[in-house]
Amino acid sequence: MSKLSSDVLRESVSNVVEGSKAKARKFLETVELQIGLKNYDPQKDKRFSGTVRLPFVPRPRMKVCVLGDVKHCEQAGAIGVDAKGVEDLKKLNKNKKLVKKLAQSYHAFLASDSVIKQIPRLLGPGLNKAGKFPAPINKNLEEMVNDTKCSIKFQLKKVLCMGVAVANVGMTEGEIRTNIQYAVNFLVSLLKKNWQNVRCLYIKSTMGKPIRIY
Amino acid sequence: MSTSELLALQYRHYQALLDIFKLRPSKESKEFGDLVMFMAQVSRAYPKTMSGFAGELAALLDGHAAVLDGALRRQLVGALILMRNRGQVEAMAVLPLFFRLFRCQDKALRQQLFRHIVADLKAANRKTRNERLNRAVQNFMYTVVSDDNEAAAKRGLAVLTEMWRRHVWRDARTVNVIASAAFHKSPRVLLAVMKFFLGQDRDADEDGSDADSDGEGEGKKKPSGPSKEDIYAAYHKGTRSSKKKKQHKLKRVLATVKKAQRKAGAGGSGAESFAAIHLLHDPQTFAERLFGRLAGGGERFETRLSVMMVLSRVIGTHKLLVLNFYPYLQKYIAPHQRDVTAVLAALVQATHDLVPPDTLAPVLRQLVDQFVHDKARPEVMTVGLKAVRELVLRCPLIMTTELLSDLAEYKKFREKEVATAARSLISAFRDINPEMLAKKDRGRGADLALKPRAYGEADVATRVDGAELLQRALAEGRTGSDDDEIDMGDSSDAEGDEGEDSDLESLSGVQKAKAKGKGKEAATASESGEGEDEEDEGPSSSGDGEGDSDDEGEGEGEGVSGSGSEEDEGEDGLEGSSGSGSEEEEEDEDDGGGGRGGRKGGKKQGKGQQEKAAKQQEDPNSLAALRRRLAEAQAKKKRKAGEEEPAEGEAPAAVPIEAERILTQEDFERIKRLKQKALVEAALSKHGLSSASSKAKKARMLEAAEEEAAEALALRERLSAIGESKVAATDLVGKHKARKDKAARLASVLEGREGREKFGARSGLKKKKTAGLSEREKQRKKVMPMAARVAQIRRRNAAARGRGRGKNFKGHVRG
Repeated sequence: MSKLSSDVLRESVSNVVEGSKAKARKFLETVELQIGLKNYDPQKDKRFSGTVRLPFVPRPRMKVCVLGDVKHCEQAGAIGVDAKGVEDLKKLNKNKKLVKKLAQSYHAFLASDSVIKQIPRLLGPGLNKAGKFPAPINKNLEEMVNDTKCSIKFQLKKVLCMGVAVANVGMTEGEIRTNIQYAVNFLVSLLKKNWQNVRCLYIKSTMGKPIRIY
Repeated sequence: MSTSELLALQYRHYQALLDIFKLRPSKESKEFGDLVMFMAQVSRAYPKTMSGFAGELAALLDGHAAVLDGALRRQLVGALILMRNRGQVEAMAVLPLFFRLFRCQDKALRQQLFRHIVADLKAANRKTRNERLNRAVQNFMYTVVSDDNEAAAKRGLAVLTEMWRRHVWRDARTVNVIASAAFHKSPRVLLAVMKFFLGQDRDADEDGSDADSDGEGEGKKKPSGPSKEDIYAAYHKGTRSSKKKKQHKLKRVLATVKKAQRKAGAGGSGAESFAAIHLLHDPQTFAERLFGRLAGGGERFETRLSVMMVLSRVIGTHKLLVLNFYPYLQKYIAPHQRDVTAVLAALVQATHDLVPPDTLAPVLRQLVDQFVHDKARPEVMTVGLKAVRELVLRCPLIMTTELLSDLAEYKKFREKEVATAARSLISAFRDINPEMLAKKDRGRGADLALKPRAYGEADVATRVDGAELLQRALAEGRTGSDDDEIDMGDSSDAEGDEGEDSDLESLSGVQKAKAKGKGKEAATASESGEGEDEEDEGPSSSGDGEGDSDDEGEGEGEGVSGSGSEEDEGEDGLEGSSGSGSEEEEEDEDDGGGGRGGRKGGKKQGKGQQEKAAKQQEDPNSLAALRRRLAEAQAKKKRKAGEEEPAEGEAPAAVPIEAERILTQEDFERIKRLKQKALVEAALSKHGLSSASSKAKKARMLEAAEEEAAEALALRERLSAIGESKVAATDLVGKHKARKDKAARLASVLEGREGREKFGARSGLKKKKTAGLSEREKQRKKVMPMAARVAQIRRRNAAARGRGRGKNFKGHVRG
């Protein structure tokens, strides 16, 4: 039985937003969802992972890099997204440090169909290691970038807790609520026993206090 | 003389002996050993006098371990162990020494040390985990396992694996120490590490422990829990000592039961090693170094093989990119190669969807060229085909249409195993990418929209899986209990049933006539529709979506309008009949309508939904498609009649339910049921529910459909975790069924007969009743006068003739 009622959620979201307004920071705080799981043995049970596209962009400042052919690079330039061509990638020369630097300086990568197959040969395992293997561009580039910004990834590692950025305090409370509901619903749908696997849920803004909602 | 003075005397004696002994340490000296043992026994009572005793012993052992006499050395170690067990010495003070002593050429000593170390560490972690000691020992273990001395390194490794096996040390640090030992220069240490990661030692040990418990006389073949009476007796019956005995016994029995349960729960199949592989800190570097060692050569084949297995497991679980591994494996892929199935299993495990297809292409080519050709032996071909199947399940992009069509040719091969393997490959592709198969291989109701993900593409969900089903169900106001029922069209209301069936027949008659052309039309319509959807998949504006949906709807309408009049008629008929009360059918139509509506809902809908809709369009003859058409026609009519738009399904689809509220546990359970139902329905429509089928046949089909749905679910489940699963080499070998002898055949026949009714006509079976004759039989047997008999026959014949006469009957014709 879900004990998470919409009233509680509404209240805590407004608390979070007020908290960040009371002491404004010099940056846009994100709203994080923190999850504790139970009845789950990460050594035995399957580790789940899932990506979901939220209705509203949680991290507008997320940096995306396009590793593309000439056409996509031009498009990327037009919409103000960083782009690198095959030549740029060849310059990295599989140098692990450079590749790591590249991986660290962006949150996500997109690659054209023709380029993506060469990525392992060109860059080695660096991007994969960082968990930022590019996604292929199979539709309009701008949409893809937007989609990437909208999507969040739940991945259980070795411990029974996770945290994800699901919104930011610059959004309206309704938007934050929608995003949180969407994320929570998706997460719970991933679990084998749904709500019975959830120990607790917290939301907090980056610098604010965590508020327990479940 | 007091005892303390006596002791002081003895201690001085000991020190004198020690000094003498140090001059010639290799000499055996029983006296010295006994004295040391004695001092160790009493040392606890005189901590002050003997504070330096343990240190001296340790120093002696450390300095002269190699030259000491064997028996004396064991005695000295025994003394130290004694003091350690009594807590007079810190663990970290003696453990390094003990590990160094593993270098000695003395098996008994090594065993003694091993047992002590394991027991000591276990005891230290018994109540609570002694994290400080663990960390210190584990950090020290890095130097132990990299010891130049092979025996010492191996023993150290054995300690670590033993601690892992006993669930004392189950953390990342242990695993990484063990992993670091893989780069020890001795191949034996390497092999031990590989065995740990493969989880082989575990199986063997478990068998061993089973044997142990059998030896105790406590182990049963099938451990069953103690009865209530036993428990009662253990606490209430008999003398105190006998109760104690019984309680101990009870405890043991409970322990075995628990162990058996745990074993059954774990499920085996590499779950353990799976955990260890997951705990590696830097799997990529580990895999690269391991591959470097493998490629360097110089090991025996068995060692290489186990390295390949481990490496492939690591690559598969972590989805690593070690691109040179595949060409390396390629040279081992030949039918005459020793243990080639194991090599193939490694290849399969190392394959995942991030491996570039062009890296794997030559390997696949080699596999097919070597294994699957007409000249090859059937067993070889089976292995090849099975390996190909497993490969494409993990990385579907490596297959090409030509190769697949070549391989599919083997489905009619004269050897049954080969044919089975080829068919399993075909059926795998029905689930992965049916478009690549030849048309005849696709099977009924193939879902051509099914495509493997493009290289590097991640599965981004836009909605909670199955939420659209829930939303539709809620919009229609169905109760939860309806979800379980699968609408077969065999409702209690026979009239309605027939009405619909006839409608369907009339419809399908028309459609069969132009099935082909229409199928194409529908397909193109769906494609164009999808194209639009994708283009319009913007972040906002539901208005867009609606415009889109309208277009699409009209396009559909045109597609159908060719047979418009008939459909309308059918529609009328249906409405009339359904008016008479079969609610389920109406619901089903709404389902179809909802499906359309859901699709019209546009971009927020999941892709799965689109696919499903597209799938429905693909086979125009299936029941679902027909129903959908009916529903569409209905919707169109409604629109014409009253313009009461939008249709019911559309409004709620605009806002996804999961954005509105938090779904409860019941919701999720319902989604699960709805998904199951949708799967079964899809399977049913795939088989095509013919109207003529009897109730029994429908029930059978429902059963088959449920089975298929379960299979589909299982496959999905399997595919979701396929990278982490272990591939057994034996699974790649075809199963050759030995021919049964006559007795065995007869036995199986008899077994099959058990618990089923006899075959044969129903009427024949009815005759064998036990009660008296029926009225009818009595009539037939009745002795009557001839005239009466003739009259009876005349009457009967007349009645029979009368039944055959239609409205053209013009009166009696004599004769």
